[in-house]
Amino acid sequence: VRRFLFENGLSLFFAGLFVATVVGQSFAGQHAYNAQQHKHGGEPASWLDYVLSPAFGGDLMENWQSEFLQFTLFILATVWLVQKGSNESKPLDSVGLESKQQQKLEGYAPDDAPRWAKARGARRVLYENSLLLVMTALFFASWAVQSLGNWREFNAEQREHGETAVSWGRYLLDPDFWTRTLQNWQSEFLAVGTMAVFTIYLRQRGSAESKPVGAPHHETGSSG
Amino acid sequence: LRPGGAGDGGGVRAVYGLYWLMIVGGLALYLVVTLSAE
Repeated sequence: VRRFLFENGLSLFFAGLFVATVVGQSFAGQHAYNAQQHKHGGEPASWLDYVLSPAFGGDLMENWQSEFLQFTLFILATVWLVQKGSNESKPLDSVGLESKQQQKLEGYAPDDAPRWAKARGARRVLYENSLLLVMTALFFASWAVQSLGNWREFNAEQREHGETAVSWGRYLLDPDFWTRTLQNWQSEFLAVGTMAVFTIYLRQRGSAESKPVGAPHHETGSSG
Repeated sequence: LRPGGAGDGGGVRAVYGLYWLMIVGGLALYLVVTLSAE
C-alpha cells in the first residue's frame, strides 16, 4: 500500500483535492442557491436536490470544459509552436511531428513499447494522437453538458419572470452561454501563457514544471 | 489503448481507471440529470 501511495502520489493528491473541492462547491453552492430562493420566496433545496440539479451540473461542467480545452490546445500547439527558453516548449529544432526514429515508432520502437506504437496504419495513427483525441472529446462532451445545464437553468429563470423558454439551439447563441464560456477560457489561456513565459526566467528547485535552477535562460524544455 | 507496463501491473492502472471513472461518471451523471430535468 505504501508503495502504491508513493508511486501514484501525484494523481492521488489531485484526485483527493478534486473530490474535496467539489464537495465544498456543492455546499457553498447550495447555500447561495437557497439564499436566492429565500429572496424570491421559493422553497429551499436539500443538498442532494441541489447536487442533482442542472444548475450545479452546469457550473461544474463550465469549469471542466475550459480545463480540457486548455490541455487540448496546449498539446496541439506545442507540436508546432515553440517558446525559446521555456520549460513548456520542446527544443527549437524539434518543431513538428518529428521523425519515426525520434518518436520510437514502428521499427524504432523498443521491445517494451506500447503495441500500437509498433503497428502500422490506422491503429498507429490513432495511438500517436490518442492524448489529443481523448482531451478533445472530453472538451466537447463537457462543453455540451455545460450548455444543457445552463440552458435548463436559463429557461427556469425565464419562466420565473414570466418570459418564454428558448430552444437549446437558440440558447447556444445567447450571450448568457458565451459569457459563461469565455470567462472560463480567458483564465486558462492566461495561465498557460504565463507558465510558458515565466518558466524562462523563474525556477522552482526540484519541480518537474521548472528547468533546473542553474539552467541558463536560453535553454529550452529541460525540466529537472 | 490499454495501459500497462508502467509500474507494478496494477497500481498505475488503478489510478488511470479512477480518473476515467471520475470524468466519465461526472459527464454521464449530469447528462442524465439535465436531460431528465423539468
